[in-house]
Amino acid sequence: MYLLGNGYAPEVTVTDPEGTVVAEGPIITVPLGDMGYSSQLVIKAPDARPEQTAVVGFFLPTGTIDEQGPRSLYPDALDPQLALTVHQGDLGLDDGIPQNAYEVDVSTLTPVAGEDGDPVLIRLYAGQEYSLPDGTTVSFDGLRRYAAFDIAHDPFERWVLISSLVAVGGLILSLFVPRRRVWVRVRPTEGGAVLEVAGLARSDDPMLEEDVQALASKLSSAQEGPRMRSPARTGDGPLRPRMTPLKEVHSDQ
Amino acid sequence: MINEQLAELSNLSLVVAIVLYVLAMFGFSADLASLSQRRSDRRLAAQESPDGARVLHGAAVTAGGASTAGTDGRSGSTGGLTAPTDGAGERTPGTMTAQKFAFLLAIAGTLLHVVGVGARAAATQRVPWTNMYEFATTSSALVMVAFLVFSIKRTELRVLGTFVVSPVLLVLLLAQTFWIVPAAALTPSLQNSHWLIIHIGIAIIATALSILGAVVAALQLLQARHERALVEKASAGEDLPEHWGRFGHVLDRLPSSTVLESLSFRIHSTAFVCWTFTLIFGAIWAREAWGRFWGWDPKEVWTFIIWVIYAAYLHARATGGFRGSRAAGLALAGFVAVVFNYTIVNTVINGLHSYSGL
Repeated sequence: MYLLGNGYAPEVTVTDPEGTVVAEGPIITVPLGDMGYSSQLVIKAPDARPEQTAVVGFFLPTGTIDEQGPRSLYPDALDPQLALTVHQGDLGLDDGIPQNAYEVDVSTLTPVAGEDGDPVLIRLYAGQEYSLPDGTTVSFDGLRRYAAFDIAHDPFERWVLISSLVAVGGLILSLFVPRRRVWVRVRPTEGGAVLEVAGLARSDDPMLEEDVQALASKLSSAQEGPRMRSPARTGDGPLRPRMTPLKEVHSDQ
Repeated sequence: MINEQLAELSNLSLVVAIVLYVLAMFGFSADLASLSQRRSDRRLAAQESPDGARVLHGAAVTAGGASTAGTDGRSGSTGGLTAPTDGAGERTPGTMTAQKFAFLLAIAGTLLHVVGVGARAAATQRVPWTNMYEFATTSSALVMVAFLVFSIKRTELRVLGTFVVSPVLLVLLLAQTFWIVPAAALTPSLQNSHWLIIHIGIAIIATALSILGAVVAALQLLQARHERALVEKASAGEDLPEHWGRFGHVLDRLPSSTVLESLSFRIHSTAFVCWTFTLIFGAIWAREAWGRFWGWDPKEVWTFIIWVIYAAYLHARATGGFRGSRAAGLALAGFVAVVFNYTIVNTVINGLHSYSGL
């Protein structure tokens, strides 16, 4: 379980000029990242008549509006305020293109203007309501908080891990364990027997000669009586280095 | 808290290490050049005396012929060349040769390199691999350590010095110029995660081994082509075949392509295991941090691509028609993917592994 984010969700009610409630309830606001937890607010009301409406602005947990603009001084909700502008026009929700629910492009919308012709800047304290000249009302009813979680569950991941570890084990074995065939041949001769030891490696095996020699020594030292050991003979000629030729060691009893 | 003095010491150490590596590179190159010179001298002497010609002819032909399995036949025969009977300027044992000088400098440089990396770790109180600068300096230090460890015992590998020190030097210079950032603390999301140590640590080992393996594979390709050319020329009747002039003489002194091939295989096998663990540990960490063990993030994808290419290399070696040079080509393709993963994916492509802050 993962915590993706958290923040404030003020309860805002928007009615259109005809009096219909077109948006109500808690709206998730996205923190901007500053110390005061100022959060971006976007409400889309496509059912507003005569024009679709979008309410855009900031939620400020401990708000102030000064020459730097609307900002929050402290992350706790000591003086919650909303600073909003209302825009109208075609929200583009019917275009068939997916949109981000937390963002809106206001460049294609018209801001609702006041008597002086400038866009109306609404500032709401908790419990207040504001009426725009064209009849739209926005009210700040209450404050909730939210947290976003991600819950991930993959029932097969432990088996993926187990099988990959087993595969790695097999890989290590196949790469580092040399595969060899070793022969020991006993040939009776007058006065004893000749022991021949030979080895053949599956592929490159630099230790083959040594190990065959070691085996021959071990076998011959287990015998009693005089020992004659001739040096290992390495076959050469047309055999490519990949196939190590047989090596023989003679041991006489 | 960042210990600024240790951070300064780290920078200083690395800069001095760069200087020492440059000197070591000169030494190794002088070693190769003088080998070429000695071979030319001997060739001249051989042409003037019929006995010497036989020794040289034999050596030149074995340069291209089949070597006995597992043994360093080439080095054996060329080893004979370095103890000449015609006194072509051999040094008395115990004197400082270019190669010894270079090797000592390389050791000194590596020591300072490791000290630099360690000082950075001590300064920041964490493992020294949390940004591109630290990753590059740590993995290049590992390349040098691996090379030194290999060539302390197997002295015939020291002659590869130039070709190992050069990429390490290049990486260090890139790190100091483009990727360097002041020693700083980790972002909170990365702190207290043991996976940082495990996953990135093994990725560093994998990268270092891939660099070393690529150097060996590239040399193997050149050597194989050189040997083929020499064999052709010898069978065409040339007495003392030559190919690629001075560079060819240098190649004659390097280990045979068979030896390089088996060395490349061993390095790449270990690197492949490390890349596999990088992927697995990365997936486990991703599950913990991001909620899923695989999300087709660009770096995840490219590490997987690296893994597939190296897997193809390992398979190629076991496949009849693809051994030798073709397999080496695949190994080099894998290395290109490693470089791409480290540079383009980190800086240009957008994803969860973005190193925009380097």
